[in-house]
Amino acid sequence: MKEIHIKEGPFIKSANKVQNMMKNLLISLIPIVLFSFYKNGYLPFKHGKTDIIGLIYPLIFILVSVFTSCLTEYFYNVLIKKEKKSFKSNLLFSVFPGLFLALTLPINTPIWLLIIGAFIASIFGKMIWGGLGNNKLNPALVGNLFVILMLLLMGNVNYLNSYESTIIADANSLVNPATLNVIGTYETLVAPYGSLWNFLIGTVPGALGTTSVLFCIIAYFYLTYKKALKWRIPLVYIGTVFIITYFIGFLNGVGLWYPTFQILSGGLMFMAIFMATDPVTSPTTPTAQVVYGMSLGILTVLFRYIIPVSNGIVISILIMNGLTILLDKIGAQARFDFKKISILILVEMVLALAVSIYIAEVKNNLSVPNQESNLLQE
Amino acid sequence: MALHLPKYKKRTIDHALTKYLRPKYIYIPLINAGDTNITNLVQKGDYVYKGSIVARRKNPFKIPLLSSVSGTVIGFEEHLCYNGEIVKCIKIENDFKEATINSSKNDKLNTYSKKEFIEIIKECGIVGMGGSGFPTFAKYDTKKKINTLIIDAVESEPYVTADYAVASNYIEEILETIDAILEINNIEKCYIAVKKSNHELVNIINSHIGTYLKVKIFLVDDSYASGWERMLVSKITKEEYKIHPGEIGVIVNNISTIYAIYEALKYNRGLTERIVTFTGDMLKVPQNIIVKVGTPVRDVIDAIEGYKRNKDITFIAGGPMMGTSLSSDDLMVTPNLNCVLIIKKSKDEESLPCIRCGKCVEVCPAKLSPVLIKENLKSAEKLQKLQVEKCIECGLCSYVCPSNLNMRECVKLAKSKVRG
Repeated sequence: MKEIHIKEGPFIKSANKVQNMMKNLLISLIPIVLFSFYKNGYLPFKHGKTDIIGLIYPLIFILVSVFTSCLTEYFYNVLIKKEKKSFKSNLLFSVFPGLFLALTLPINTPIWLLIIGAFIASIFGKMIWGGLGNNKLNPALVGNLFVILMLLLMGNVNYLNSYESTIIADANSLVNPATLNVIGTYETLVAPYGSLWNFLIGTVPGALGTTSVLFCIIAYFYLTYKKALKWRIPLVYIGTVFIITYFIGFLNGVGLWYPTFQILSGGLMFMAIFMATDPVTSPTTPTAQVVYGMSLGILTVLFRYIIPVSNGIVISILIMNGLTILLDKIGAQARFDFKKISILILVEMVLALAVSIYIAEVKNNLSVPNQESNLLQE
Repeated sequence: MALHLPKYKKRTIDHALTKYLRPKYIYIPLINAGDTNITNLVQKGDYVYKGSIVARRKNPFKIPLLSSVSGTVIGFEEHLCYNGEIVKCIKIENDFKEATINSSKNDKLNTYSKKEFIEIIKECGIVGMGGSGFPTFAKYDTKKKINTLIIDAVESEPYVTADYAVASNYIEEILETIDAILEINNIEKCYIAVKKSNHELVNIINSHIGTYLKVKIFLVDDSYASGWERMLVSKITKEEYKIHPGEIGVIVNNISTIYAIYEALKYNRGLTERIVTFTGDMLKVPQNIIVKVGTPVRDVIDAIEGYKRNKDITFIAGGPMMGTSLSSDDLMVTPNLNCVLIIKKSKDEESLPCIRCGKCVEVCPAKLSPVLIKENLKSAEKLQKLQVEKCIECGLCSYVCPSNLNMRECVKLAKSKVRG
């Protein structure tokens, strides 16, 4: 007698499962984690500014955050949701809020604050919404916003690690160009930290893992090739920022270094590639993704001249997270009838132009010497 | 996004075409294109000839079902059909004489008038052999001027190679028939749609197509969705139609159906046999076989050395994307059955929550957004706005979902909600 089993079709399935996508994401983060260890652990150690603990501190920082996230999710599942999920089975998905939180915070963040931040990221960013797939806000950014707010209230925001603080006076104009009265010159924005190459490779002050643009770009291509990323979003996001800041610079007579500097600094590349593309909180339809990226670009540039850069990006992404469902609704209709969304895209383009002209006018005085000069300290 | 599926076609292409034409009993299921409103025309004890009409579908199509052997009607039994339902069948005992009536030989295929052509392909029981089973004559029986004939030789589903076997073995007859069809129906041009990557078939067609000036090859890309009728018509004629291609003067026929038309026009033979791909990793010798309509699939499998094992079997009528998994191998061959796929039962994989990755949206050939359909299952109004009725149930959304969700079932559920 033959044992024949009924099954629901289709009977072949793609091998690219969620677990594969998550693993590829982790793989793409390895160079970034290693670089953060190099810049914030090895370099200070080599120059005698920290001890052995300081050498491996970046890794400890990340592990503490990851561990907190995993434990928080596990206990939430067991105690509140009353699910019998084992720690191991949910491990792959629960690392991400903690991991991304650690990478987007300055290394000087007190460890106790980091732990609270990871807890908040997992609970308020993910679990109270219903866990994997249900959250409407990016968990790591929720935690990030909380931590930065606390740091600001405590008067303790400092992006320079123990080695950088000996060679750079402060990173204020880099982290917060809004404090400048003017657009800024190459001498004030770039030169104190090296050249644009430093920004590309990442040997500039910033959050733990967001400085290395090069490794972020490599990760982008790797993840797009492995079909684990919404590739349109970073492309349009960075492109919009570049174009708007190009016009700002152009209207003020500064060269191409200005928009290049803008997309290489402030952790924009990392945020655009890893945070804005979080699958659960970003749109699923192609045209909605384009509008999402453009809106992010416009908001980011606007915030850049008002508040510190990284925080502007965090707030922009959280705002757009809230609009994802609405954008997807429009995007679904646009698949049948492109005209439905083309007006929106046109409006965005006009808005982008308006923003660039406005900022160019407001910050248009280049020739006034900057009061807060950031000269290299010998 | 054009998604390419793995092919799994090599083994059945490399194996020579075989025959199994001596079943002891045949069972003609009283079903056509999913419709069981069929009038039975025989009784127990009747003698039937090979090709004689044993049943006829009720209005409006009235397509006949034919006996594929000569012999005696034993009675009626119920058996499994390709769509998973139990259907009443006429059981006929084969007397192995292959006796026919009304056979003739017609050297020139184009000596029929349009009316005669339609009548003969109707009475020969010719239906869509690519899987639809739709009565072919109904496509030609129209007052609208037809200007393009498209022959579907794409066969984009993995595992299935029945069309390839017909095309590679009978290309001259097929081209001759196409030429005749064009002349009889006053159709100006014909395109044979073939996959770009199917080099063997492209070469076979190209080496015979020279004298047929009205017939051209049309190469389609390698993706799974390229075999969809609507996409084919849109790519070839650059026009869209609402419900069926006849609206814009186009007829699409599967290439195996054309060979059946050849037999009808040349020898006045009804559709009594077809090539079926028997394949899958649980079969000892996957191959294409010529079988008679009504043959128990079990008998064919036994004749080709059978199953590798007797357990953990998933038995599918049709291809891996659009076929149906059946509860047993008690299946009878019907004119629209192109593949029997027997694979190892795979582990039940756990489904994860939807992570809104958007892959289902990207692959859908009908430009639907399955993610949003899933999120709006409660509201029939929203589902209608999402145009769920356009779903062709190709299965690409389920194939690609990383969370192992059966998105196709979800969209099918949405469709039934909208229909009310």
